[in-house]
Amino acid sequence: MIGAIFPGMSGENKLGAFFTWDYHRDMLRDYSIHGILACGMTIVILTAGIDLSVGSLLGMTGMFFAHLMINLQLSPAVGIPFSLVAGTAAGLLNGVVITSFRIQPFVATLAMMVSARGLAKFIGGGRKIQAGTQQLPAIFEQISSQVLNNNLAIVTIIFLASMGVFWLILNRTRFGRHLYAIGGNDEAARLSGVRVNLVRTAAYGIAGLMSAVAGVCYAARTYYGDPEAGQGYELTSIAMVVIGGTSLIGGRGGIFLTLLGTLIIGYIEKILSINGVEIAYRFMVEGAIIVAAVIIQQTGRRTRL
Amino acid sequence: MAKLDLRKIGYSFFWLLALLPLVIGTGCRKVEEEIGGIQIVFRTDCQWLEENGRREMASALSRFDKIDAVYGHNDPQAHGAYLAAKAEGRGREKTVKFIGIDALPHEGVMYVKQGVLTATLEYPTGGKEAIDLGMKVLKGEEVPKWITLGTRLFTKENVDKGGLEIPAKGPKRSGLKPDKPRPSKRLAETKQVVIGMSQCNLAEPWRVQMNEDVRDQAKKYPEIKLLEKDAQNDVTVQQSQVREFLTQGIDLLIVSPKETVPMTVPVKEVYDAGIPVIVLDREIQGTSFTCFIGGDNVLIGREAGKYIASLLNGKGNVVELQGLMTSEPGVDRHEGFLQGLKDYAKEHEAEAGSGK
Repeated sequence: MIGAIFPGMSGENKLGAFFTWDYHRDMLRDYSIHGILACGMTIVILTAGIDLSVGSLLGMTGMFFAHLMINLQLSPAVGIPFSLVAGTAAGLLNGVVITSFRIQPFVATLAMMVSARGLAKFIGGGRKIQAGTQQLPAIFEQISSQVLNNNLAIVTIIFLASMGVFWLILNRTRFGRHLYAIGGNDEAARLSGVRVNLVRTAAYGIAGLMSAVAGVCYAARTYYGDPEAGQGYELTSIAMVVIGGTSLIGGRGGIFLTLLGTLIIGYIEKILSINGVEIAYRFMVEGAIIVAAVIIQQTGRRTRL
Repeated sequence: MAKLDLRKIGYSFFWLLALLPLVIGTGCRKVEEEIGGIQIVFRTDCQWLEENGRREMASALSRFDKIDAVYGHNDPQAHGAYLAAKAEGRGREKTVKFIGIDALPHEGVMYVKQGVLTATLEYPTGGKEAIDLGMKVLKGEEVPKWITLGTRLFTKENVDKGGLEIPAKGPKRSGLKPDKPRPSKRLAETKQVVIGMSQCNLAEPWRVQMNEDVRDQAKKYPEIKLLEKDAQNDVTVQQSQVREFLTQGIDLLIVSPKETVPMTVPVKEVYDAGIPVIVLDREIQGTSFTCFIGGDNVLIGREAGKYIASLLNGKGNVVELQGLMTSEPGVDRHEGFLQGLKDYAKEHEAEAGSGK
């Protein structure tokens, strides 16, 4: 019956794939990495900035991680912290360039996007780093595994946990309130004693850190370091933040909205994918839905006021 | 803050729910195509990307309980499908057969060795052949104008022996007259030649492999000095790089064009200046080149179709993960695949008929 109304739901599963947990688990797992990037992106966008380098930093830290783990055979206790530090350092560099040289975030992070991609290629000599015939370090399998009787992916847990941490940072700490203040009006924030440059630099550092977390997850999920990994992810994560309703002008929004944006994009893509919709229609539908989402968010805001 | 959030969630989910039936109801068929006993149950454009292959395969897996084989238009997509099956946690990565194309030594061939892919078919780069033929041209020997390379099928059994050779059925464009031999003066006098290699995009692993094949083969000839240029996927950059080679005074040009039409004129300029040109993989218009070397994606697709059909004894459910269907290789690998399935069905009909 349902199959007759919604042909896409008819498969060999009795009720249709949409009503199986696997479907939702796969969606969450596939979009967790985008979601992790979107966490960092939310913080940057709240300060009225933008970070275009997250996708490239994902690729770079993934390569770095794969290099440490596969080529140098180091322990994960060394490999993971070093990768995270590398990502954070690149993010902080973004912040320093933006604040101390007064370069627009768009330009500074665009430069980082290009050079981090170059560094990613340099690390592997233009090639993927993979285990080949040697033993793959166990950490790859561990991060890409699923727990609770195979029902929840580790990457999803990392994603949801970072959402939680970011919610605490934004709503329960002084740093969080400062981020909103800077996004709202940085001059006013400065006059009321907020160390604007420091907070802003930290925001980019955090975005870098989240890129590194995503990079490690990505490398683990694919079992190799790919210099081309994460291309276009910066735009997806910006879309996730914006669809949620966080304003690009800054000062308005929250991490919970980003979770919403992540789910919306994830479900749309999953629904289109499971129906085997042709790629041309997919792009059109996705574009239309992004616009529709933002329009609806704005209507919501207007009625509230 | 919290109040605002709740309202927004309400709005977003409201319209998402409203859109659901619309989106779910679009463009879906239960079986895409049926040839002989082979049903292509799921088919989608993955744009050559591993992560898309993985996502689409996860969708296929949650829709179909019985999937016997996956045909990936390239190895990364087939590998992505394997990872999706593994992540599903029902052990289907062990029962489904994964077949890819390209067979790069560090990619597909390695996956076959590891037992991840059941088979992969080589899409030859022609890099090695280009250097060998180039040296023949420079020494004044006559070479054919058009060479279509065959393929090799790698399976677990034959991967260590270098795969099973499948020759091409003659050149794709035939009836072209070979150029008159023009031996290089510099090679004869100084025992040295400069070869320029113009690559359209070194961000693709297959093209990295092509350059490596060219480089490795060039090392076998002590008289070769090789210059490489990468156009970074920009056709105007490649145009100017080919012209740069002309001013740099090369003796032979190897070019792997990004696009057919825009590269025709610069290549013709080089060729008309008396420098032999070897074109790899993608064609250029007209006959202003010394030799074209390329693989045959239709042949590869067809062999993949025949192989999958015989693997399943002519019966089963297949998922096809396509490459970018606006690109020629994607279309050829798809068309060839369908032909291969048809070939198999026809042969076996005939066999069954004669058996009676």
